[in-house]
Amino acid sequence: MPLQEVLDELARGKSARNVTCWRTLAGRPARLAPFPSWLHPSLNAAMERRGITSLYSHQAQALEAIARGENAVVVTPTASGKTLCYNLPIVDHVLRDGSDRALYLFPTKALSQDQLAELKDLCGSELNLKTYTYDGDTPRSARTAIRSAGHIIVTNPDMLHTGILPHHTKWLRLFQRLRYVVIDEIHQYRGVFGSHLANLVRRLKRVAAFYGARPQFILCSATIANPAELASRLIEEPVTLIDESGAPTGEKYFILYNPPVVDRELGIRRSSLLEAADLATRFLRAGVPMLVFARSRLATEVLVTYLKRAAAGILPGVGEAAVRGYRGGYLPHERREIERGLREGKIQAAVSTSALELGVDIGQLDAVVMAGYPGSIASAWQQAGRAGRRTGSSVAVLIADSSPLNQYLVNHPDYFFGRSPEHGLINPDNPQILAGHVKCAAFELPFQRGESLGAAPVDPILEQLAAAALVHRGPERWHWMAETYPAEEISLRSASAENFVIIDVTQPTARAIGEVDRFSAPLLLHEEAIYLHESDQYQVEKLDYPEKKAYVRAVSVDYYTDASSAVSIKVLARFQDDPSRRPGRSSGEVLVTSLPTMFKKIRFGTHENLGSGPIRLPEEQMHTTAYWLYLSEEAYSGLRPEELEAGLLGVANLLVHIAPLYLLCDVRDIRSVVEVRSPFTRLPTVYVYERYPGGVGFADKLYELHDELLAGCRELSAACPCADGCPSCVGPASEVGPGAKRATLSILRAGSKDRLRQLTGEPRS
Amino acid sequence: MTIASRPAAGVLEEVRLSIHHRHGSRHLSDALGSPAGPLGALAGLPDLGGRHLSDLLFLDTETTGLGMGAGTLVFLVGVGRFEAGSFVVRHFFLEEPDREGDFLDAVLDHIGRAPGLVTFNGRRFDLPQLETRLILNRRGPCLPGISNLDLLPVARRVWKLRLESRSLSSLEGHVLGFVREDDVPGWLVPSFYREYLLTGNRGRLKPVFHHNLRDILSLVTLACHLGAWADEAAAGRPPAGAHPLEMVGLAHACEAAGWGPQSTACYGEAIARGLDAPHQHRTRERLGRVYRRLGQHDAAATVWQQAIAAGSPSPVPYVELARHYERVRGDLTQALAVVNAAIDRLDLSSLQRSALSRRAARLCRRMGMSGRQPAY
Repeated sequence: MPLQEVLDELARGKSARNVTCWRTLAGRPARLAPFPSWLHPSLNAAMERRGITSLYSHQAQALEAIARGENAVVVTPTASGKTLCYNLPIVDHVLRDGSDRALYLFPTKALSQDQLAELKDLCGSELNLKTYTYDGDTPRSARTAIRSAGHIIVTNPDMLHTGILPHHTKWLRLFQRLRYVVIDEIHQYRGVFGSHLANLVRRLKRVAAFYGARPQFILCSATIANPAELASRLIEEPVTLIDESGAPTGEKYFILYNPPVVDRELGIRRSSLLEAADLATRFLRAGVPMLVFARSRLATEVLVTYLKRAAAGILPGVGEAAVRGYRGGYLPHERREIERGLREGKIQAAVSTSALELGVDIGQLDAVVMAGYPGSIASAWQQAGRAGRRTGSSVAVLIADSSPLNQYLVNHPDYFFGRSPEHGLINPDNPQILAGHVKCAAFELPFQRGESLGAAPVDPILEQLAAAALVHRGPERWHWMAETYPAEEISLRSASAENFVIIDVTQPTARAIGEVDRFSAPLLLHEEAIYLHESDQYQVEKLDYPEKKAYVRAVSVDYYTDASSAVSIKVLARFQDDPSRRPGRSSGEVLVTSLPTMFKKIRFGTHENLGSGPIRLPEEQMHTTAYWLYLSEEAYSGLRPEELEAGLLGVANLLVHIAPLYLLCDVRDIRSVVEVRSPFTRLPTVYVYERYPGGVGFADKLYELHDELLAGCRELSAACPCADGCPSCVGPASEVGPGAKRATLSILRAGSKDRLRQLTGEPRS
Repeated sequence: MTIASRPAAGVLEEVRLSIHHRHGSRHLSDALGSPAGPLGALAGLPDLGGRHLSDLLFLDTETTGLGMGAGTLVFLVGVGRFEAGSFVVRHFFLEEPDREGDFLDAVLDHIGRAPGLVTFNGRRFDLPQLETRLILNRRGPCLPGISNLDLLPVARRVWKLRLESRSLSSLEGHVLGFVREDDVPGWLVPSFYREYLLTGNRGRLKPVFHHNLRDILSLVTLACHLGAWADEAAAGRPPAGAHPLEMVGLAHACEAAGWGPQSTACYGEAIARGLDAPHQHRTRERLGRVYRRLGQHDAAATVWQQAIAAGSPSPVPYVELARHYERVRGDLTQALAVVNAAIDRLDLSSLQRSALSRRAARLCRRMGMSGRQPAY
């Protein structure tokens, strides 16, 4: 078979030495269970019509838990029939009581569309069940009917936030009889987005309670370390975990692939994009249907270009049409068409950003190529899960890029294939996020004195809102009194509500081309900065700082700009401290002050410095939470001051790149600062702080994971083949300083020796 | 005009006007003899027959936000009503949001027994907003049972061609002969209530009460104006004072209300009184179609012929006339001649041209000039 040919070549050909790990995941037969006896006869019939005669074991477990009235969270792989876990009990319930209602939340509109198709298919025309999607694309004329007549409303968090909850009186029929709420893809709801979602659920429950409804929650997640914990934090209720899939799988190969080193001294490897293009071309030639995942929109377009060119040569007659791009910016009907093409086999390869990683139905494919680690193990498994058939073998290949995180993973396959250690973390009580949702909730229903929003007391926040004349304090209740519409001002997905808008003034009619969050703006949008957007270059002509607008003009230059800022950190409160560890660990609240200082112009290719200039912008301050580690005197006594600094920078680089593995966050969500002598600890200190004001819980988790993190840093830098630091470990020597790698290892090893002594009880020398 | 403070529970202020009070170019008393039935029917309310406009309540609300949603409060409800020789406007006012329930009870008590309400955009704004407040205070939903004669949809149709804006203030200026002076602009109203809540000073709200009073008086005179036109149109007499473009608008309104014959009378009168060429062509197209739907095929054919004779640049009259010859008269030759005339005379888009050619070809086949079966 064609897939086997490509695999044989990969195993034996000259690229075999780049394969760092080749795992065979054994296929598994189905574990089946009968339909529960209570299932409505018409549903039984509908299932039979679709050729389904029994359930998988996890589906049966979910149905039982839901029938017992428990909240449930279902964690099973792609294509394991997850949706039946909630569709069956809910449709069953609605068939018995047609006045009851259910609300489905999916993170994207595309998924809502899929879900609707699935429900329609399940219910057929003979079951009198009304299911609708309600989102920005729903025609106004249809909305009234949907509000009053829909049994199942399928929507997304943003629409619930701005379109449904603020207008709940129009949704009387839904809320009065709201029996079930389904939240799918909850692994998406972590960090800032998850903290918003938890508050959205608080508002939803509050409005439902006003109408006398107390819905049961059914949640679904891809594999993460703490699905039950995340689920119960999102809904603030206990949940029953169902995580043993009974679905059959065919045999699957999972290959980790590291592009060859082309410059050992600088630690530069061949581009992961080029390697991905080569490998995908082999699959294309063998006629293997596949998906290629890239990390960014730009990378997607580049790969599409390569593969179309390759297809034109390989597949005469079909040619370029067999390869398609698929990303967020595409129009809905284009996406539908591509999904259909993949299902029907008219398209052989699609190149996608993570948009397709979610549960969109594209049928079953034989191969997945990931150009770069997608940022979390959960995403990697989800993307890999796109390849896989119930019978027959499939393959997923992860091609590493040269970042420390990617390098760590391809060189630690046991870590990668072990139980996913990523935690979905949220902090619903983050002051900024909570305050935003208190505004929205006050708009939706007046607050009684002493009332709380979920578990959070809100009177102090309402006092502040009253002082700002946004709410009115009556004798018993707080009432929204501002003219503004609070939900419109709060975006659930962006980290900061105050983004800078980038306006292109090249053409006579100016247009907004992008946004940058407030804390990155000074470094990316200072005057004379080169701003890259979809690989086009723009120069910033004017930064209107108070109005949060940057005016840019298209240019064509051979350099980019790199700005630096002086970041200082001040510990305001220490929450946890543990000096017994080596290095010691702490977490707490900090004030981060960032003052942009200067920028350099750097030539593409050669990286030569073409000049520099000052940046004159005010400093930015942010209150947030941080984790920090500090060295004991013995740990650094053997290092010269410049070595110590290089070592601290090395540790900081490693930490910031490895931590996302454990946190299920993006590399951009955390930052580091080092201090050779911290005014607070009076010792050499590395801080890792959260980039969202107030923090979303990463700092506390890092504190907990301290030992594991340092062990990971140690292994990564020790295993890296570079001479003295490279972008794949502690950072290039030119940035962190000479001797960085040795110094870093010395700091990290001191820790491990002390740790060992602690464990074995051996006295310190 | 007399103003009484706190005359009844929940009512902050009661303004009593003589029915001879003049508002713009009308007197309030005009409402006394005006039947409400025809205007009601034109607005889609069939159950006002036998009533006079003066039997209805005139309602307008002020809110804390211009948008909708559960967080927008209705803080002022003005209700005007004819009572024994006077017109009385009562202002229900939300003194403290915590006591919204009492405020709403007073309003409901007052409007609940009326045979109907007259509003301007009440269907989309005032009533849904009140309903939201009622639901939030566990007193609703209860408004769907109340007849609401919303003047906005009718006014939109009637003045669509004649006026650029169909807002109440535009209608006041152009139709009702009333010019507002020292008025609070609507978008500023919410800030007055906020200031009241912050300071407790009710005196600052005086301009808002006055604004609301004028809205209600304009509602009365607008209802009289439209009521008179509806009454004449219903009787098949196009109103004498209407501008030809207003006449077209009134015809639209009649057509939308299902008054076919009345709409043909108004369209016909509008053409007779003189319209510029583009409006004339468009009006004939509508008139012809109404005749066709009414089954008055000869009248329709006459309109299409007139449109062609007047030099209509559109293929519609030709196509319609060809259809008439083909289907009603069975005269395929004449039908083909009309289609060919359109192809010869008109400046057509390629899409229009190919549609006409297909029609011509089909006619040819039907006439036996070609043995092929029609393509569909």
